[in-house]
Amino acid sequence: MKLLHRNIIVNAATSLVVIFLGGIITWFFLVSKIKQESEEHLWGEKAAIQQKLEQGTSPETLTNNVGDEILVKEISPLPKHQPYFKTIAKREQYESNHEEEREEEEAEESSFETMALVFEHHTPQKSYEITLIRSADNVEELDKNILEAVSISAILMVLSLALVNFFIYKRLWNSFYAALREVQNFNISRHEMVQFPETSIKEFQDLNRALSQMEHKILRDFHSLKEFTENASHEIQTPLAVISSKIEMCLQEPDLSQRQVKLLIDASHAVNTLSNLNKGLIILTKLDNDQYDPPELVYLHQLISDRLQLFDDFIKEKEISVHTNIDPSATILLNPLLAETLFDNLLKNAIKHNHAKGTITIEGSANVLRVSNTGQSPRFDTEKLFERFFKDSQEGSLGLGLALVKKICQISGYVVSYEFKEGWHILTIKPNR
Amino acid sequence: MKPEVLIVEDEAPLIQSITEYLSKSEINCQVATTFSEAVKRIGLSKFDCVVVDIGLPDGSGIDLLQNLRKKNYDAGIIIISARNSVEDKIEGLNKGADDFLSKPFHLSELNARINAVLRRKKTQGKSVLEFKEIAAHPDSKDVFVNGNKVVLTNKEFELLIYFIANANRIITKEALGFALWKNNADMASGEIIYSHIKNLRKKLVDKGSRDYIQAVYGVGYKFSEA
Repeated sequence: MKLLHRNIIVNAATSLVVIFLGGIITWFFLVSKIKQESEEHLWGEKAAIQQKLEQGTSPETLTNNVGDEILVKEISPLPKHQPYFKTIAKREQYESNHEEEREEEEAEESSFETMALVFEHHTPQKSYEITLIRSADNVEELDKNILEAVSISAILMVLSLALVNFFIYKRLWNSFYAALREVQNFNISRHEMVQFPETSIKEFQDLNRALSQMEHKILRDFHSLKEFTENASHEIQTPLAVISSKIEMCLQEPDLSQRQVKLLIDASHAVNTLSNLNKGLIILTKLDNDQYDPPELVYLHQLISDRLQLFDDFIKEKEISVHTNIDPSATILLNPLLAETLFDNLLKNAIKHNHAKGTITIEGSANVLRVSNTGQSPRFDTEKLFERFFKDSQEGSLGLGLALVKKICQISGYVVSYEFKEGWHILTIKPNR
Repeated sequence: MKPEVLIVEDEAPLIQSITEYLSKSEINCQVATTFSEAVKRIGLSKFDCVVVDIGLPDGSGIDLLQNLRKKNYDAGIIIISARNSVEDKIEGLNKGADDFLSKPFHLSELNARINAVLRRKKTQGKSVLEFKEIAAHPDSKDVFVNGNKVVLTNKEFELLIYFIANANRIITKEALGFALWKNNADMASGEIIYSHIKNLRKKLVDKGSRDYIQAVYGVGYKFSEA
């Protein structure tokens, strides 16, 4: 879920709850205020009516100039009641049917009530119960109005929140997304620092600062690792050069015994293997660090015929027949040196693991390069084929060839796969989609 | 007059091997172990070939190379590097090196490369490589025995050149493998090398050459009179 959407949902939910609660509080507040006001008003009117009565107005002819209703009822002189308030839910019903009065009173909480003040007036001849009913025009439907107002403001609130969020989000997070893009495009082998966009928001400034500190550290580590790799290889190759040259000088000595020669040649082989191993590992490390130049379009046709010529002696030695079927327009997008390394290793593999008078088939088209060779069925776990130092008991093999093939494919957007089918070892390279 | 070669390399035991090996070639060898010493020696005498290690204690071999090329110093330059990195090789060759060799190398290979560079530096027409009755022309790849032309394949010709340059010294099969197949030499069996040598020997002998190629049991071959 995008931050924007979550933000809008949380904001909308919160504001709906708050507005709803606010509506309820407003309602209660208004009700109590109206009640208080009605009471004050009725007391005032009562005083006015009592004044009129004392001035001699007959209770039957009482009128009220502010629109309140006055009900007058003759009662027996006794007992005397103190004036009291009561509430009437619906005036019409009160007027039409006194019987229901009690019921209405009980239904107090059901709706907006109208306030009434009941008091008695005693003249020497008669006693009256006067009910003064507050004019209710202004409070009718108050609840409905409040509900409407609350709903409208809720809708407005949510809409404006969504809009404001949307625009603020776009502006505020702009620098965040710009920084994110920069980090996503960061390529350590390009040796260029990420340029974070300027921002006035402290959190993003902090983020950018932390990111660029991390980037510095990564680059520093990367360079020191690269330096270490180079130094290590340098430091190893030089003593190897010394050993190798000493063995060669030693072999020039006259009158060496067979045994001495054998010892020297064995040592020489080991030095050679060590040196080749070191070279292979350096290439793998370089590939791991993505240290190769951008790729070029290499024509498979040209590449393969060049390399086959180079391997001609080895192919002839085993009397292997080679069949090629390569689309002249087929290309592979790879650094040319890596393309050579890749193909040399595929070819070496196909020759080494072939039997005498075997066959190698090379197929190349726009989407696939396939090198197949005849050979013994695999006695190894084919899953491990591409692992470093995996050896199928082949003498003189370092076990780095197919690891190199896999690594080169990996960094160049290709995938290599192996299968054994009907006596053929098949290595297939395809673009990685 | 023997050609003058300067070896710039800081690893003393390696220098010792190189100079000892080269002493059997028709070469005068001088040695410098630091960048500044190399500059001093180059200022004092005229060299036909400079072999320089990239990693020197007080500077880079590449800088020395640029230095020499800027001054139009007319010497063949071979870079040797322990880093074996493609960038070093490309940079070295781009900046005017004649050849590049990565450590560890066979002394016979270095010797052959030095000889090739010296040949190329010589004035045209004189770059014939001779051993007794055999004459090889590296430019045209023609070989003559007592004036009779011998037709060789590329690999046979390369072998012959290598043998003549390293005459009178034992050459290992591994060194021959590297000379012929470079980085793919690990594929080369003794049999393949032997079959090329057998063909070369036959072609030379057929035209009246003495057989100079001796097999050294378990090691390799030696090209010599005795």
